[in-house]
Amino acid sequence: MESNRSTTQKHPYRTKRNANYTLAIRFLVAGFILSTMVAAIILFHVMRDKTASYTGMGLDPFEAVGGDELYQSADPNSTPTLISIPVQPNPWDGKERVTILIMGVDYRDWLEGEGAPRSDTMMLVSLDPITNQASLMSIPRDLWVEIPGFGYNRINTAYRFGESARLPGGGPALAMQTVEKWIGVPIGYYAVIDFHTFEDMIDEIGGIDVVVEERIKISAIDRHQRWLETGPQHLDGPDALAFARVRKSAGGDFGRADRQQQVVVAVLERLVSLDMLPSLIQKAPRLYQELSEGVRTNLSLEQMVKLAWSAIKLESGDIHRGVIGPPKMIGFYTRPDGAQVLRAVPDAIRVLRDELFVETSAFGPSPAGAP
Amino acid sequence: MTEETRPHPANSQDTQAHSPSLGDTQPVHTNHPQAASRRLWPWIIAVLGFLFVVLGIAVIAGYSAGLKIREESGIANAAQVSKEQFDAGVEDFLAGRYELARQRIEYALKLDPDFEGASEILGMIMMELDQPTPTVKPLNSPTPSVTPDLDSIEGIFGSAQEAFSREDWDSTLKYLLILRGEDSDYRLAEVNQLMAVALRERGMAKLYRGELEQGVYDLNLAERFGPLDNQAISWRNSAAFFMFANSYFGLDWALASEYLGQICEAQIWGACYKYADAAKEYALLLVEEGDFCLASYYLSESLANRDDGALAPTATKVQRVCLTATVTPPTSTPTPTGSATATFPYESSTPTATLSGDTATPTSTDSASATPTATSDASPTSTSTPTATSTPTPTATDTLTP
Repeated sequence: MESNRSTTQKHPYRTKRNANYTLAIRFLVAGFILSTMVAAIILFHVMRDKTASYTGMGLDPFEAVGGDELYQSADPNSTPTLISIPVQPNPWDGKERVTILIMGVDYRDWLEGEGAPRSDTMMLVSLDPITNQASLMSIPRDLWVEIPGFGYNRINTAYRFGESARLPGGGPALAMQTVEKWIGVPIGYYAVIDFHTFEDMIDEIGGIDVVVEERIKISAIDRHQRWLETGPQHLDGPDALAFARVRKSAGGDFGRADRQQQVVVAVLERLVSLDMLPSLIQKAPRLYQELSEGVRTNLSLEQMVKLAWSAIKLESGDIHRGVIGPPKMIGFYTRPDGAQVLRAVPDAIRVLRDELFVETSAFGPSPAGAP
Repeated sequence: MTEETRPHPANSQDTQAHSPSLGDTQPVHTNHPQAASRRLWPWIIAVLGFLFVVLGIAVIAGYSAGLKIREESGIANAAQVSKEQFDAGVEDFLAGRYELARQRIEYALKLDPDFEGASEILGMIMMELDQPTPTVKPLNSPTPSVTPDLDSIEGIFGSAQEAFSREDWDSTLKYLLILRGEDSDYRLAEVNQLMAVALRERGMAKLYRGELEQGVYDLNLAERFGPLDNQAISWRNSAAFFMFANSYFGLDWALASEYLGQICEAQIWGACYKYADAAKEYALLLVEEGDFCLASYYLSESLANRDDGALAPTATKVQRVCLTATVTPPTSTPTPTGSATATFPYESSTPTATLSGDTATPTSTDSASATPTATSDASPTSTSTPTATSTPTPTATDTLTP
């Protein structure tokens, strides 16, 4: 030990080298501490902002135009503002039956200054993870119902009224409240999908396969009209949307509702057949962000993933479909103002409701829960 | 120390073997590579520890700060929203949109139960709606005092029983569902019985609250376990009949009036208000068609069930026209002082009788008997439709034993 120290003292070159080495170490340590501090500050801000902005649930991207003819005239020059009061659903534990009101809206109406849109499509989708049964019920948009706080009107105006009157929860909340009051099934969630986003979603999964039952002319947005021949067809996003929306067919609005359900089932089949869900889940945060451009929902990303996992376990026989339509469930009426609306026949609709939601419920004497 | 980082003995031998010149000119240092590595490790651990601590503190502090901001902005947002909804609610109240006003004020109270003046306004709205003032629970309602044990099947079942004894039907059903999801065969008979009773009770509670279709839905679920009792069936039938009657509202005033009139007799679910509205609309249609006496009957029915100051003059005029059209014309024509042709907006109809102010009321031989009464032919003909037969009373309760 002693000999080593004396050796070191005897060599100035070594002393200088050691001094340089010490200086370098000091710089290195200082740099390290500095960069750690900078990283810590950045991390602090990122974490703070993320936490502060995290709502825990839901996408709420649409900027609602403030008010319309009901309360105030919309000023096209004013900056759109959104009063967003999320309707807090009970957190879904993945076991309870989950019922979602899916609404399709065309936000081009809004952009064109025609006020808040009406819901073009309304579909109740329900999944019971215990019985492993799912139900789809399409609700015609011209149905004459009581809208809480707004008297009687077509069911598709509920969304518009809720947005226009800036009710708590906006259009989705009022639409959910209206449908729940009318059909009786507890509805916890909603998803409002803009047409354009729907097209993107279909394209993201590489299109869907459907069986076209009657020759039908479709008119996709920004595309020429074309005929869809009967038989199996592969549709991309724009064509799938056009297929789901076209009314000029034998079934009219009710045939359209049936095709919309066909599209939902086709999406599910696509996910299952190509085992796409794992890769989609990997991309989920990016997709979720992208979807926020055109999807408004109170489902969180985690809930969506849980739901998707439950949904792909379904066999085709586990999906029960129903469309509220003539002749038993509705009556055609013309109001004094000339408006053509549909009167709901509650007793007949109740039979369909029970078939889709009561018979498939885990609230039943059978332990397996199968209907 | 891991296998990869530990210096291999062979390598250290190599190092010595391949530096003969160094060995010749300088004393061999004692800082053997193995020893150097051993000295370096505490530094690496210290650096990593420092990094971990500093960045960890940053994350925790950021998270806490974010939470605080979120909480503060949540409070600020809630205050802004409740004020906005309160203001809009008052506006709706003043404009007579009571139902809408109720929704808004209730929401404001949910966000802030102490919102100044909200309870008073809600009371006034409820008086207008003729309903008891509800107790609005805050959105962040306190959790039940008993913390449920959901770790074991037995614990879940116990929680369900405990919720059942509290008559908390929502929680009971929630726990039973969790139980069913965990083990569908567990105490099957008991679980089924609890489910059936909880569904029945929840359904009845909803019917009492006026959530008709929701109540019917729960009762239909309860019926899967066994036949319902008579009381539940009676309430369910009445609710179904109300929904049936309601489906004609705004579409067929004659049928809406007839069916809502039947439910109004039981004075439940605000049927009389709806009946008043339907009767009024039907009466106005009848006036257009020239059926003044039937119109007068429905107008009086409407006024009997809802105080409508604006409708009263029309009802009086329609009644006069009806009387004029039915009574024998007096021999001496009364001299009109301020001739006023019937001014209500249904002049295109046939009656030609002219009214002459209050002083020149046509004399009826028996004014009392001239008051129109609803006769069998006056009522719209009913087809094969359900009728509200036994109207239940909201106070009675009994329990279901499946």
